[in-house]
Order: sequence, then C-alpha cells, then structure tokens
Amino acid sequence: MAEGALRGITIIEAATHVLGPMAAAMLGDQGADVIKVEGLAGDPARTLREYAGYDVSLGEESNAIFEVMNRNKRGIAIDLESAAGRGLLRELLSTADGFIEGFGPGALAARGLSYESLANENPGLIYCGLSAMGPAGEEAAAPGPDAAAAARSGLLWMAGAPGSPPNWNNLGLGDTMGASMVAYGMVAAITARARGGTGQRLDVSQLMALAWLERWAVETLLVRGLDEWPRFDRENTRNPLFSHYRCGDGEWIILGIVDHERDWDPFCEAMGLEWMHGDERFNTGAARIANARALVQALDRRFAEEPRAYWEERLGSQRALVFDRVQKIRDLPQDPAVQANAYLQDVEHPRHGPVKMLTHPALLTKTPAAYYCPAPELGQHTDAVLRERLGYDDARIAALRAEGVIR
Amino acid sequence: MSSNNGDQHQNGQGPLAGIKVIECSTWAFGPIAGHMLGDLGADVIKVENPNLPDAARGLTLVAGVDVGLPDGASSVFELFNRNKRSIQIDLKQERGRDLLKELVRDADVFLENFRPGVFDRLGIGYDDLAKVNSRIIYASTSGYGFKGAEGQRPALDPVGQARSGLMWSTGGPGDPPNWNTLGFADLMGGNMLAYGIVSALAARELHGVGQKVECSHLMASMWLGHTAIASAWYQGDGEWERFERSEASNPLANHYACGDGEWLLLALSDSNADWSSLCEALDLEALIEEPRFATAERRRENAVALVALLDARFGERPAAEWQQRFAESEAVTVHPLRRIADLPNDPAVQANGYFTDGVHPRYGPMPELLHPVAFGKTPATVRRYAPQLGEHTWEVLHEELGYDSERIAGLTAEGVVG
Repeated sequence: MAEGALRGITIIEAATHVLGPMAAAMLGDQGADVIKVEGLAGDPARTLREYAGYDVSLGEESNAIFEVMNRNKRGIAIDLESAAGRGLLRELLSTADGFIEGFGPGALAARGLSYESLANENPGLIYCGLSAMGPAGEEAAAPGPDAAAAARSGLLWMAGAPGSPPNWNNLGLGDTMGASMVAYGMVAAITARARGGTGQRLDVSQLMALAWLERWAVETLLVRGLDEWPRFDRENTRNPLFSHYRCGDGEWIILGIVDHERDWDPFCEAMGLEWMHGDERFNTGAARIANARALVQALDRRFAEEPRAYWEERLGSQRALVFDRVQKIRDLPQDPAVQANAYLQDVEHPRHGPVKMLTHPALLTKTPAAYYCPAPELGQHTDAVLRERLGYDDARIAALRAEGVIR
Repeated sequence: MSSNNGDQHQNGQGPLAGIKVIECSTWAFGPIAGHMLGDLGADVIKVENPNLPDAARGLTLVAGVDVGLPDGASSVFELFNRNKRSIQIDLKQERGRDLLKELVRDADVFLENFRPGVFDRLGIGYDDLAKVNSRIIYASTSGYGFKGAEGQRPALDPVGQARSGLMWSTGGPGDPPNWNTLGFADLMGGNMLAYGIVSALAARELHGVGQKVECSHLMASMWLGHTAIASAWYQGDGEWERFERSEASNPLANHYACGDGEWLLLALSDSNADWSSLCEALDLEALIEEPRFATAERRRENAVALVALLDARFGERPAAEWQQRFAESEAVTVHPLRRIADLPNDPAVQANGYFTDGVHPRYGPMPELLHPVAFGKTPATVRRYAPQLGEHTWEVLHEELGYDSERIAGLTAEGVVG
C-alpha cells in the first residue's frame, strides 16, 4: 500500500510517448493508483528502439524510456475505436480523481468523451488535456516531438556558443518540463478540490512549458524592449568569476561568484594569484568589468596549469566560494551528492535485472515518493482493473475479450 | 490586472485561494516557487531582513544583459516576486524571530532558500516552526541535497547546470560546454519546489500531515534531463552525446538554414509519404525514387548526404518563401526557429492567451507569461506587482497580527521591523 502524498487518489492516463506518461508516473511515485489506458496495439513508445540517435531498446519488447516513464502504474488495454471500449473508459473515469489525456484538443470530444460530459457524470474529475502549441487556435494539436516547441519557443536558438548554429537540445526538455507542469497542475487541482472545490479542466502545452523555462529572458526582453537574449559568451563575459574554465586535464570547472567584495580576496588566494590584489586592472569591481577580457585570459592560463581535482581542492578550501565541476551524464552515479541523497536509485526489474532510475524531483520528508512497481506489460492489469474498479465478473471480462474490446 | 499595487484583499480565486505562505527567500530558486503559489491564489508574505534584502533587488546584470529597470530596480526581481506582499523583519534579533513565529502560527507554508543550516542555527528551522504550527509545510532548498558532505555547501544556478550534465548537453559536438543563460537550474528548482509544496499541501488536506519539503539545484536539473538520463542509465553505460544536425538520424526531423539566414524546423516522422510530400514541396521530385533515399532505412544510412542536399536546397530561398510553399502542402509540418523576443507575436501564444497584458504603474506595459498550467475553474492570476522593500510591513502587522500603530512604531524604532 502506497504511503505517498497521493495515496487514495486514482489517476487514469491515456497518453503516449513521454509527456503524459512521465506526468502520470510522477503522481504514481507519490502513491496515486495510476491506471494507464492503452489501445490494443499499446503505447507506440513501447516499440521505440531509438531516442535522439541512441539505441534505447531492451530486447524486442521494451526500451529504457518506456520503462522509466511508466513505472508505478497498472496497465489496461482497451479498443478505444469501439463504442464498447469508449464506454469502458467512460466508466473508469466516472469514479476517478484525475485524467491525463494526450489525444489532442477536441479529439476525445469528437468521440463522445468531452470534458463536459465526463464532468457531468463525475464533477470531481480533474481532466488534464495535453497539446503541442496549446488547445486554442489553428494549430491546436496533440503533443508531438518536443523539437517543434523548442523551435517555436526560442530554445533552439539558445543552444551553444555565440555564432554557432542553433542546436536541438536532445534532452527532450519540452516533454520533461511539460510533464513536470502537468504533475504540478494536477496536485494543485487535487488540493483545491480537497479544500472544498470541485473538479476542473487543466491544459498544458509543450510550448508554454518551454516558455516558462525561459521566462527570465522572455520577460526581461519584453520589459526592456530588447531584441535578442544572448547565448553565454565566455570569452567576453563581464563577470569572469561567473564563468567556466578548462583545466589542465581538459576537464571543465564553473565559477558562480557574484559577491566580489566578499569573495575576490579568497578567490585570488585559492587560485594562487595573489599578485592580482595589487594589479590596478583587477583590484576593484569596476576595474574587473573594464578589463574582463584580460581577466578571462589570465584565468584561462592559470586554470590550464593544473588538473581539475587540484582546483576543486583549492577552491573548496575557501568555504564560501560557489564553484563546481562540469559533469557528463555518465558521471552521475559516482557523484557523491547523487549517492548521499539517493537521487539515482538501483531497482531490481523482474525481466531486466538491476536497473537505475532517477527518484523524484522534490523530497516530501513524511510522505516520500517511492518506487512501487515496474511499467506494466500491455494489458497486464486489464482483468484486475475491471474487477476492482468496475466490479466486472470473469464472464463479463471474458465476453469483452472475445469481442476484441479489451486485451 | 489591477494596477493598484497597494490594494488589500487581492488574494485570488486560484486553486490555492485561502492558503497563506510566509517566504524568506533570495535570488531566484525560492522566489520563483513563492510567486507561483501566489499566482495560484495564495497570500504570499515575503519577509526580508532590513540589513539584507533579497539579493535579486540589486541584480541588474544577467549574462551581460542589463536587466535594470528605469528606476534601477531589477526586472528579474520584479517578475519573480509578483503576487507577494513585503515585510521587513530583522531575523537576527530574537524579537524578529518571535514575530516570524507569530506569522507562521496560522500560515500554511513557510519557504526559505538561504544556505542550508542557516535557519536551523537561527532557531527557525523545521523543528522550531513545527512546534508553533504542526500543520506547517516547511520548504527548504539546497544545491546538492541536504545529505552528504555537500549538504550545506552554497550553490547558485551554474552548479546545478554543471553537476547534472545539462551544461554538457549544450551546443554541437566538439563545442566546449556552455552555461545556459536562461538559468535552467534556478527555474526548474523553483518549479519543482512549487510542485513539492503543493504536493505537501495535498498530503495535508488528504491525510492531515504537515512536513518538510526539500528540493535541490542538482536534482531539479537532472529531472529536466530525465529522458536522457533514463536512456543513458536505465541499463546503459551512461553515454550520451549531443545532437549533431549534419548527422541527424532522421533528416526529416531537423532544422535547416534558409537563404536569408532564418531557420526552419522540419518535424516529419519519416514515412515514405512524408518523403514524397517533402520532395514535392521542395521541388525535388527527382529524389523521390532516388535509391539512396527511397526508404527510411536508406535515408538513415545516407543521412549525411541527405542533410547536405537539404541544406543546399533550403539555402536557395528565404524562409518566408519556404513557409508559404509548405503551407500549401498540408503534409509537411514546418516551424520557424523563433527568437525568444518573438514569442508574444507567435499565433499559438496569442490564441492561447499565454501572456497577460498588464501595465505596471512605474514601468508601463509589462506583458508577463501567465502560468504554465491553465486551470479551467480556478485560473492563475497576476494581481500584484513585486512589492517595494517593506511596502506592506504596517499592513501585515496590523491586519494579520492585530498590532496597533503604537506597537508597530515601537518595533520600527527598535529596528525589529522596517
């Protein structure tokens, strides 16, 4: 029995790929009973072999992304093309708390499952619709590859160093950010309902999710009337103490020093650059801005003289300095903070053996998120869900299966 | 939006209407979470120290961009502190801390993002405030999580980006890593802190439990890379490389520079129908039957050659001309690569009302993104602009705690409040 914040809450998810499934998994992590509704052919993400040019397959039947984005759920397979199948979905929704659907704006309504008709039967239902560019307007469409929203939001333009071509960030931010906002919206609506409110419809788009991630640039540009937010230019930055440097072994380190008054002296000491104290190009904040390029060059040279571990120790000897090493994804499991906080968890999967996955982005100390179960096989819990949620008996379930309504 | 910044009773009808939040935070991580709760209708009271106000009030330079407003205020502070009231309390004084506890007594959420351990040492950690109000949700942030040797290490946005692998994912292969000037670690940290707080509020409403909520730059940044981390680590060896457009495994899902230097994104799934439609739209019909590109598999094998060929073709005409041609071909979806400054003019952004059209009393028109989630019945709202330092000290002490003018004057004279 789940002990998380959302125990006792039932969520129906009918979505594919990453956006909707990841959001539902977040609610499942928090203890909600999440039922994933798939068509008879299953979520197309089940047969994903490749992501961003990477082989993510696990045998013929599964892949890493599907497994991680569908943990903590039960699965039921229903033919939503048939009236009987849609009737089953309607019945499941009549007693559910939340619904996350990725069919695209208007698609379910066209099949007789509009929000209004569902709310009529279950006023407490919290219905979250997903889209690529928002539910209104000529482009209202189901969520797709996140590159489209990345292009439209300006994110594609922001990748890389100044002068280099725009680049798609293959981390899939439109989906991860979108999913996080779906989960956030759902818990907010659950809270409102628990405080005496009713259910309601929510909408989340990949476009708005990415715009929200860019908002200090978005809003600063608008308020200040500027045309373009710059990419970071480390050669020409005005604060060389808030920049990154290549160390002698080719590894990178980043400084995040904003309080020059407090940190300049300890920084010079850590770097073995005490001569800078007396150098009038660098000995005041204004001078450092005026001579930023020279300072970057001096620091480039100095960092290149020693390997990163040396600099980590030196900078770490001054307690207040903010700095860190620039890691790759492959470094994460060895990261001491990742280990100490159990951010990446080892799990034993019944078929895949030992696997690693991220735990949860927020720690609720008394009702923590947890890993309860692996992603369901297609239709793995069809019978159990129909029995438990709808009270169907074996004969009725067998008849539905014989008619091809369920799998 | 109301332009009356001092108007009372401006709490919203959002999902968190009736929730009271006491926020002691600085820079971006905590303030973002606080104002998101405010957007959702909570009454957010921002507590600042008279001698040490939120550092973002003085933030006028981000990534080389002057983010100062005409009167010297910071636009970053402005947008991360909307929907809040401000009270100045000196928390270094015991009487100031007592005042804070009085505010917390009937609050729902307490939120702080000072260096881990600072509030415990001041005697206003979770255990201290839970004694005053056992139902309180106490939210704290860290750079690296509270456990482990780095549990109390100071952190700002760059460390989350650097440690999580986000920085390494930026740019083309072979480029040096680059810090993302959009502040992803702070933004995602604030978003996930808001998510954690609202989840804890749900837990309190459903199960009656108050608790501490923690969020870190490192975890929030990794969460943004969840898909990649899942791919790299679920059963893999952790390897992950950046996207290289000249070698895109599906050249039909890639971005291309047009003759005028603008870029267009093709977003096709790479079926044979997509291929022939694209060839027709590009006037490259001869390529439809070209053996090197005749199937998705062949196109993948010959991706470098195909991208080069498409690069050349897109480069022959300006973006607007291509967009018009693609608009005639319903089968080909293409998106312009917008600059961030273009967002308010995007037709989807406009159709969905993603921006508010507020007019700030001091700064004039100030369009702001409304909220990442549209709530059908309890919409998020922007009701207040960021407060001046201590703008609501008197109001909060008087209305929330029932202090009279004489008492407030006394506290002010002693420097407990400002």
